[in-house]
Amino acid sequence: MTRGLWWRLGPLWSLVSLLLIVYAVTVVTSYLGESVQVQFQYALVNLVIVVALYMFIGTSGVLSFGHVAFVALGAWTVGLLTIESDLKRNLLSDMFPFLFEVQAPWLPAILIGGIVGGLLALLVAPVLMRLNGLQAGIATFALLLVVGQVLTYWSSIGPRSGQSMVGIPDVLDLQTTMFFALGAIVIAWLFQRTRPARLLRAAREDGIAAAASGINVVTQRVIAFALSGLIAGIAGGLFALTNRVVQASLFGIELTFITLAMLVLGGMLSLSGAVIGALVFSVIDLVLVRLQNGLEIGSVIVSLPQGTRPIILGAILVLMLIFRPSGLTGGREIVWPFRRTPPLPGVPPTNE
Amino acid sequence: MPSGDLGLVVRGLSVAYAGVPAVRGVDLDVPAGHAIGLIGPNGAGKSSTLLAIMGAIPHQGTVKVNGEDVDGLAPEKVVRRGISLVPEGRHVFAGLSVKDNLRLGGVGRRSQDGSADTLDYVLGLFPILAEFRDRQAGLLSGGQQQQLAIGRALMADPDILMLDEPSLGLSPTAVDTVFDALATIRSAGKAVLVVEQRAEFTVAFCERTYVLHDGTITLTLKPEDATNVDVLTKAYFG
Repeated sequence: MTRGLWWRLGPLWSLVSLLLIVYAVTVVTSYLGESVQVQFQYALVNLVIVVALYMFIGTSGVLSFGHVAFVALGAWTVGLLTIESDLKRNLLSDMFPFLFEVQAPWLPAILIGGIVGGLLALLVAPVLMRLNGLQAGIATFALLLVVGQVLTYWSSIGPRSGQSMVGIPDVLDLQTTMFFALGAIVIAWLFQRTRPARLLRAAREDGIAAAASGINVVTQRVIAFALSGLIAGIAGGLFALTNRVVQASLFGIELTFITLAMLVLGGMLSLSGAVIGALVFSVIDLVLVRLQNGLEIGSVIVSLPQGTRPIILGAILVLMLIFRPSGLTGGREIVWPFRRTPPLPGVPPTNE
Repeated sequence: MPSGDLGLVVRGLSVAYAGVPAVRGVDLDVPAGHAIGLIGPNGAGKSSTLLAIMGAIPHQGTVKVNGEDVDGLAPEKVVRRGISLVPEGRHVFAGLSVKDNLRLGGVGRRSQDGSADTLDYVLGLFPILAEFRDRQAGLLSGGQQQQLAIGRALMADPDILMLDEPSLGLSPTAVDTVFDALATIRSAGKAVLVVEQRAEFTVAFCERTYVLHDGTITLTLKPEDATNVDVLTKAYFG
C-alpha cells in the first residue's frame, strides 16, 4: 500500500498547527492592552504546566496531583538564583549562607529550575510509579503536600514561614514566554514519538496485554515522570519570573485543579487536547475577568458580580465532563483537514 | 541442552487468593512440538494457572522454561525467557494499528535479530493482518483480533505459546482459522498450551489434555477420548 505525502506528514501537521494556534493567540492578545498581555502570560505558563501534565498523565494514563510540586521547586530555584545577593541577605536572613551567594542569569536559572524539578520527579518515581489509579492519585497528592510544607516552613531554603520571596527581576515578556510554550509543545511532540511513550500508551490501553508482551511499565513511567517533572520545573521558573513574587501557598490545590481542569477540558489523551484545553480555558477565564471588572461594549458596560468567574468555570467543566468526557479534542490530534482518507478509524468489521 | 528439556515443565503449582486456594499442586508437561490442553469448568483454576506460570500472580511451585527456572521473575522477564501468553478476551491494543500491535509484541524478544523474519512468518500465518496492517485494531472483528493477539504473542518469538480461551466468542469459521494456525505453530516445533472451554474440540486437537477440577488435575485425556461422551462428562461433572 503506497501512502501519500500527507500520511507521513500528518503527525508533523498536528505539531505545526498547534504552534501556529499558540502563536496566533499570542499575537492577538498582544494587541489587547497591557493587562490582557500580563494575564495571557500567566496563561502561557499554565499551558507549559498542562503540557507537562499531558506528557505523564496523557501518555501513561496514571493520574498525578503532584506535578505542581515540581512547578513549585522550579519557581523556588529561579527565585533563589535571580534575587540579588544583598536583597537575599536582608529579606531571607535565615537561609543557609551559601544560598546568598548563589546567582545565575534568568535563562540558566530557568533551566536549573527544570533540572531540580526533574530530579525530584526522578527521586520519587521508583516508588510512585508502581501505583495505579486512586493509589497513584493519593500518593502524588501527598507529594504535593509534603513539598508545600517543606517550602512553607523550612526557612533555611527560603523565606520565613508563609512569607514571600520578592525582588525577582522583571525580565520575562509575553513573547519570550511564548517561545518557552512553543518549545514545551515541540518537546512533548517529540517525546510522543519515542519508544517509551509508545510503550506507555500501549500499557495505558491494556495493562494485561502490555505485561504479556514483555513491556516493563515501571521503567517507562519513570522516564515519562522525570521528563514531565523537568518541563513542570521550567514552567515553575517561568511562573516565578512572571509573578515576580514566589510563595509556597501559590503552588497548592488551586493551581493543581486549574491545570488538571485545562487538561480535562481539552482531552487528556492528546497533545492537541492539552494545548487547546489550556488556551480555551484561559481565554474564557480572560473574558470572565474582564466581565467581572466591567467591560465596555459601545456605550453599555457589561459586568458580572464578583465571584462569578470560578462558578462559571466550574460549571463549564462539569458540563464538559457530562457531555463530552473525552474533552474538546476527543483525545485525538489535529489532522490535516484536506486529506482524502481519514487517519486510523477504518471501515467497521465485516467478518462477524 | 538435551531435547527432553525443551518446553515447559510445571511442578506443584499452587495459587491462593486471600488464603482461598484456587490452584493446588498442579503438574504440567508441555514438550516442544506438542499442543497440550487444559480444560475444566468455570472457576477450576485454568486462567490462574496460566497467570502463575507468567509470574503475574503470587504462587508456589516451580516453573521451568527450556530447563531454566523462571520462578520469581516479573512477567516481562518471563516473556524474555521464551514464553508468551495470549490473554483471555484477546486484549489487543484497540487504539493502535495492527502493525503497531505486532511491533509491540516484539518488545519481549530475546534478540531483535530476525524480527523481520518473524513478522513475515506471522503475516504468512494470518494474511488478514497484512491486509489490515494500518487499520485500528479495535475495529477488527473478534476472529481477526484473536489472530492479531496470537500474532502479537508470536512476535516475541516464544518457544512456548500459551492461549487462554482462544475460541471464546468466535464464530465456528473463526475458531477453525485459529486452530489451523495453532496446528502450524505446533508443527514448527513450538510448545502450545491451550486453555479452553470447548472440551471435545480441545481433546481432539491436543496430544494430551489435562482436566482441571477445583484446582487439581483429575484426569488426563488423549485425542481418542474426544468422542467418548462418558469420559468428557466425567471430566466436567466428576
